[in-house]
Amino acid sequence: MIYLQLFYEFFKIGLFAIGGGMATIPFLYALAERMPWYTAQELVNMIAISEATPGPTGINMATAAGFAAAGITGSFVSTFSLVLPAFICIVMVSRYLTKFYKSRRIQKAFYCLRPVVTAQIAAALLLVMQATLLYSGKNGWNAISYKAIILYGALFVLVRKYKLHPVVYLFIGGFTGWLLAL
Amino acid sequence: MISLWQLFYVFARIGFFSFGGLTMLPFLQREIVDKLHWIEGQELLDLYALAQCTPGIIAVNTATYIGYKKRKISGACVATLGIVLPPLAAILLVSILFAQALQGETAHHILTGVRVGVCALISNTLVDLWKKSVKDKLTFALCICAFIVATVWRPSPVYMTVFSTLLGGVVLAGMEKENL
Repeated sequence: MIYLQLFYEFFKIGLFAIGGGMATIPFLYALAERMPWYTAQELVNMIAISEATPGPTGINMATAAGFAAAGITGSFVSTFSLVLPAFICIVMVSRYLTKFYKSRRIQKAFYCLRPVVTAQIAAALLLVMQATLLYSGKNGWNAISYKAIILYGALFVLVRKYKLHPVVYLFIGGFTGWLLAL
Repeated sequence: MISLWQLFYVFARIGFFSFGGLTMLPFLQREIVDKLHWIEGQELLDLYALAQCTPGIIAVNTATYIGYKKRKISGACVATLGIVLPPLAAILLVSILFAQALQGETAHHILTGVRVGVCALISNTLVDLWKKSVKDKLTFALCICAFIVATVWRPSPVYMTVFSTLLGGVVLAGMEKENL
């Protein structure tokens, strides 16, 4: 039953992805490998759509992934399963949480968790870049797409320098991709 | 008393006009603190910090917290639905339209370029995250080790999250107590 599977997987992501939308990417990538729902390349397309569409990126990615897996119903299941753990957590422990999150124990836990989340996003990014900047089906130096790497470098510099809306950079990327026939 | 409809409407607007992540806070500040006076500035900062430590999506958690504070469970439900439904509808619309448009040679070139853009955007977030999370030798070592583990063995992210949380909350906090 695909809806139950979706519920289970996205509930798990909602429970264990701490630190916002980007923290869900390693989970979504792992899902791409384990499940036949979408490929790694499709995941990158979904991230693009999520960055370019209004709303929190984490929600958008869950909706897109659910849609890819099981259509409209799937998108509702994945999105609400993602939100549910935090909702339960907030409604049940909200009263104690204010005291709780200032405790040294929690501060220490997050002190260790944050760099690990950063590392996991970096590892996922590496895989995404492998799929994007290298031609599939070629080996060694032939596999490197120099055009894509130069575009990546230029866009990265632009993103760091001008904090414009993400859709601007995606548009520049798409337009250049069309011009250079990437 | 804030009506449920109003809670829904305000968060639906925020859900639709914010793009998540770090752009959320100024938006919430303007709408909920300055314009509506639902909570005070300091309280918003506290709730936002709490939302970051709660599993899940930060923007959604902030909405759930504020909704719960104002109208208990029904408020939490309505605020959460408010921030979730508009993006959900937008993505569905885009996905349905895109499924047809994304075929052919030209689309392939454009999409490859867009994916390169995604790599640049994630890299940008990564630099910000690195600056915020790697503060000293220990966090540096943790980050490098976790990266190697995640790249070579690729365990489920669940284990890495649980392990690092326990390492900090139990081992590190425990060691500090002994030293005191």
